[in-house]
Amino acid sequence: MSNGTTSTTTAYNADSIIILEGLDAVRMRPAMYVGSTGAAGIMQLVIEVLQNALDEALTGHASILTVSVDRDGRWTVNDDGRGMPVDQHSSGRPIPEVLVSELHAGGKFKDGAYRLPGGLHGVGLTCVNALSAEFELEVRRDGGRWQGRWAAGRRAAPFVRIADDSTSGTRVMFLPDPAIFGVERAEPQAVERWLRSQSWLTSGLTCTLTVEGPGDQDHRTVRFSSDEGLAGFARWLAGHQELVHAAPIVVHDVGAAGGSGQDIPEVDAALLWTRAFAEDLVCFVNHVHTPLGGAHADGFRAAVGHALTRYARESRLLDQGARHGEPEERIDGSDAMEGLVAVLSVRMRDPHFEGQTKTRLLDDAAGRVVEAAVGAALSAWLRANPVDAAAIVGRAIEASRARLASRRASERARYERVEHLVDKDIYRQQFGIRSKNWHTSADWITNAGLLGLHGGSSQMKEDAVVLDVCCGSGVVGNSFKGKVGRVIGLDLTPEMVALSRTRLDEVVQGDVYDIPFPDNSFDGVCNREVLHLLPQPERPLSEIFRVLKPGGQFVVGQWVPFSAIDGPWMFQVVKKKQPLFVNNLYDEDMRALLSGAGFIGLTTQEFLQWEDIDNWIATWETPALHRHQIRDLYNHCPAEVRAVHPFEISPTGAIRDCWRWVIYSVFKPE
Amino acid sequence: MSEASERAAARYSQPALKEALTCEHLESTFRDEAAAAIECAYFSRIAEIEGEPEMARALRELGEQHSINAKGSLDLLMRARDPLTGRPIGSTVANMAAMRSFYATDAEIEGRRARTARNEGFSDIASWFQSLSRLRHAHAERLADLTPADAGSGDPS
Repeated sequence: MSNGTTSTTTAYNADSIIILEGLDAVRMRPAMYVGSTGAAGIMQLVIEVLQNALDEALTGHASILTVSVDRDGRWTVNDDGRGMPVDQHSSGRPIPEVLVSELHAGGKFKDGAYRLPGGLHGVGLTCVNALSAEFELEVRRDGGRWQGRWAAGRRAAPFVRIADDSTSGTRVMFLPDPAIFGVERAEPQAVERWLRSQSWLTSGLTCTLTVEGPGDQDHRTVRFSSDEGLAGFARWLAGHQELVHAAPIVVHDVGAAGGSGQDIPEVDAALLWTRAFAEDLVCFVNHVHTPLGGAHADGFRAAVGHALTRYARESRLLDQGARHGEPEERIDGSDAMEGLVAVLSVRMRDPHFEGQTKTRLLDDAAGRVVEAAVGAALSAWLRANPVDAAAIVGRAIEASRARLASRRASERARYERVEHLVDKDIYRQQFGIRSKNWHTSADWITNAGLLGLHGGSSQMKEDAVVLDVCCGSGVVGNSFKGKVGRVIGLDLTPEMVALSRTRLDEVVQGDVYDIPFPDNSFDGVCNREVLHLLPQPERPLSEIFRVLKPGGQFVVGQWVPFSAIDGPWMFQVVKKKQPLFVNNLYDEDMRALLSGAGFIGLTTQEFLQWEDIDNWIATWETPALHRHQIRDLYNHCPAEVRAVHPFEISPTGAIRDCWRWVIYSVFKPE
Repeated sequence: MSEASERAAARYSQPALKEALTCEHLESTFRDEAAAAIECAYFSRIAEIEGEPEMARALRELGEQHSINAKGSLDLLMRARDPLTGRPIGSTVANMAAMRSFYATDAEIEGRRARTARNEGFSDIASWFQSLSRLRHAHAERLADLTPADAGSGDPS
């Protein structure tokens, strides 16, 4: 205090400066070290332990990696590697004690012990120890077995030899600390994915996962071992998608692209084009998954785009528009990647990552090596396989034309005052294509809880006749069945009409702007998630009002932003996904629209639904560029938006968004 | 140099910036640099996605320059006025008041833009303007909670 007066304010002096012991710092700011204090953070702990075990396999010293989780959330990872050194460290303590209780202690800082390590480099195991309520380390080597125990990073039992043992390896058991992670549990599926990936990436490695269920008989064990390498990985990622070519294209380059020096990264990749819309590029650096990509992913994209464009030009597959005074047709990198399932694995010394959890590679030089290696191998393959090459390039040209069509759709969905009509062909085309996989194209469509709230809102009599407007596959109208007498559907798209006829009593093809029924025809009307696609939504609402009988009920479901704060962000996400999106309807907009149309007696119910965004954006109408930009919107979401709009990004980069649905129920006055 | 001596140096060594054509030019430069910074970053990401890392890097680096230049222009504008609102800026209290004024005014402007877009048949753009208008109101309220109503109304010159 500069004026010399006494104060009860805490003094700021040498006593205020606290030097946190290494592990206390981790416990105080756990998210800084493992990304989060939720399920994703626990997953990171498991991965850290696994990564250490994997490093033994990568040096050829381990071939078996077993993982188990018990019903209390206690994880155990065991390998048959060399086992940690058990000698005394220069500090006087056994080396394993130092390794698990000192940050930045490890065998990966020097050449020799581990040539291309993954893990967090001396931070991983220490963080796991610091953030665990129970931590047990067991080492088997040199004919003995040693064990030590810790609790919340503090030593509970010294690391000592406990028995003779002729085997070798390391076992780590830990229980994530509930004081830090609450009741969160890591999803065993994420660990399963990791083990499956590593079994493909690491030749000769066998991985086993055992998950203890609630009952004694509910144990589940899965085992992964494969000699197929990345080709098998790509085939597995492609799943049941229709393939453009039968066998994956395999790239294997051991530093040849950049010379013979041993510091040139090794590049392995497998590429398989499918008829799906989304690209699926899974990247690894030293076997660590990098969900946000980085230099190696950029180099890969560049290689694919350039190789396909070069081949298309050489083979005269592009439209030579220049002859007609138009620019020559071109394939963007994003078009080339559409439908591509690929695995890229780079092994390099001393990689640089963005963030402690290694989500993005920063080394531009590695990107150039990947670009050269993948570009050369892919170009050679295309020239050697002209039939498959034509199919792949044709697929990219198709994507390029779809991108242009999507942009035109957005431009043509313009409603020029009352006298001009919406271009209905655009709606028919899009929903005609989407009808082929309508129910699997998004979770919200068949979500039972959400549908239940629509049908459950009914206050109509048992013999009521209900019109499902823009009925799609008829699932909303179907939710009223058993509560009313008859449900009739109305949809613009012939394919949707055919689909909904399997659910509804009768379906008519028609236009919501001009509903083909006389005034006062229905006891009820229902509709869901359509008004945001319709310019001038007042007009369809007035049509709905017209065909309802006096006293009739209208039930409409619509997702809306959580508040003014996430509205513009949500607008961008949805507009990029759906070019026909024209109204970012807030709750207050819906209320104003309904009362403006003359409805009364408004009641609402809210429903929070988690949508798998990667699946939601894997559709015909969403170009590849937009899919990337949508992921960017989530990955770089402003803190202000995050505070009001819940969503999750898993360590593998998968996105789940929480949508706020409101189901409005109103009546036409008697 | 203290804030007072900085102000004194500006006042006695140069004509009043806020009345000069140079001030308008500086504001234009600020807007251009800020817009170019965003455009370069946005285009850089597209180039990255399209598999053009060299172009992406070039655009990213140009964008970084534009960003610095926008701040350089703003540094000089501090002597005169806020390029968004014409209000005095400099101290955090004045800056907060300027931003609050921007949000409040722009909320109305975006609302008017929404009506025009709707009348011209651009429903999606109208909805975008409307969404921004709502956000501006929310931001004005957020800043109002942090600053007293009359803060920053004084002219630092």
